[in-house]
Amino acid sequence: MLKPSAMVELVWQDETGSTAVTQLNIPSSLTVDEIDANATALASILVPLTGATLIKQRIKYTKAPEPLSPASDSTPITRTGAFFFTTGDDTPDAVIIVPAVKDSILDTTFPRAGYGIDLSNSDVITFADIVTLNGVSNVFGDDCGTLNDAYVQSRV
Amino acid sequence: MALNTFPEDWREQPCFIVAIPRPLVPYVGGLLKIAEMRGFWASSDDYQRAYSAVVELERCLMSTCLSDLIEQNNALYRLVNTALLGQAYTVVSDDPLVVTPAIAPSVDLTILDQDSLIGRIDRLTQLLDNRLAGTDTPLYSDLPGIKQQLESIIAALGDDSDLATIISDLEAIALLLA
Repeated sequence: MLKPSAMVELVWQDETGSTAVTQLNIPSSLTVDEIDANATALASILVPLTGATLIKQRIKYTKAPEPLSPASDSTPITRTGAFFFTTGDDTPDAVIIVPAVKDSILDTTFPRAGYGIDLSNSDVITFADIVTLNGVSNVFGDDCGTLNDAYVQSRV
Repeated sequence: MALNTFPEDWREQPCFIVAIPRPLVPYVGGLLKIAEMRGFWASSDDYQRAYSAVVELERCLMSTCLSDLIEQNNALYRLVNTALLGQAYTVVSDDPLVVTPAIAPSVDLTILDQDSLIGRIDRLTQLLDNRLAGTDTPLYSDLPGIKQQLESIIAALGDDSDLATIISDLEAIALLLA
């Protein structure tokens, strides 16, 4: 369920490079462009009040399942699956992080047993297909292509 | 935190192989997360170049196990030893891979199969020795050498100097040799 308000974060930086954030709530019924316009207007009004410089503006919509369902098993959140997708010959790979990956998708044969993720697992294949078909990209906006490899990382 | 730069020619620079124990792979991969962040790098260009390199490195952590490389090296050794000297190998088990005989620290030039590369060269050498010089070899010993045959022909010709006589004698010798 989409939360009723979206959050706008205005990131400010002083001359030492330190940063701080102004958080504002705006109805989530507005579009990104509308919220962006409002946030930009608000930021310009704040400029006379602060000696810091605006360096970044974030807009966050939050959606959460309702009601929340309990975890399906005891897999720790720290066991992270890192899925690496190609994006093109000259563009950076994309990495998608999935926490608490299940034993059932891990490789069972040497030398990847328990560490590598089984790329032939049907659930993994479905996930990779959906990522490719739904326009998911790397942080630079390059579309994800083929799932190249995946394994367990500790990112916490 | 210091802002870091990353060279434009990073793809042209040499790479180093580091053996990472399997249980450390998740942690080494996870620790690289810090280098995936924009704030770690001095500029957007540094960030994009470094991000490419870091994520490729992370991907590679599980892609080529050192034991795979060693086994491929061993397989190459066996290919060469079989092709050159004819050593036959047998796969005793696949997982873990056990192949006999084990790779020896050194080998001599003993030919184990005459159909190997060195074996075939040896066969040709024996053939030439036998056919040209008439030398008895392990593979060829039952025919007189060409040199020996020529000497026999010259001896059979005797002192004849007339061309018609020489041709006639050669025809007679050819009939005898046939």
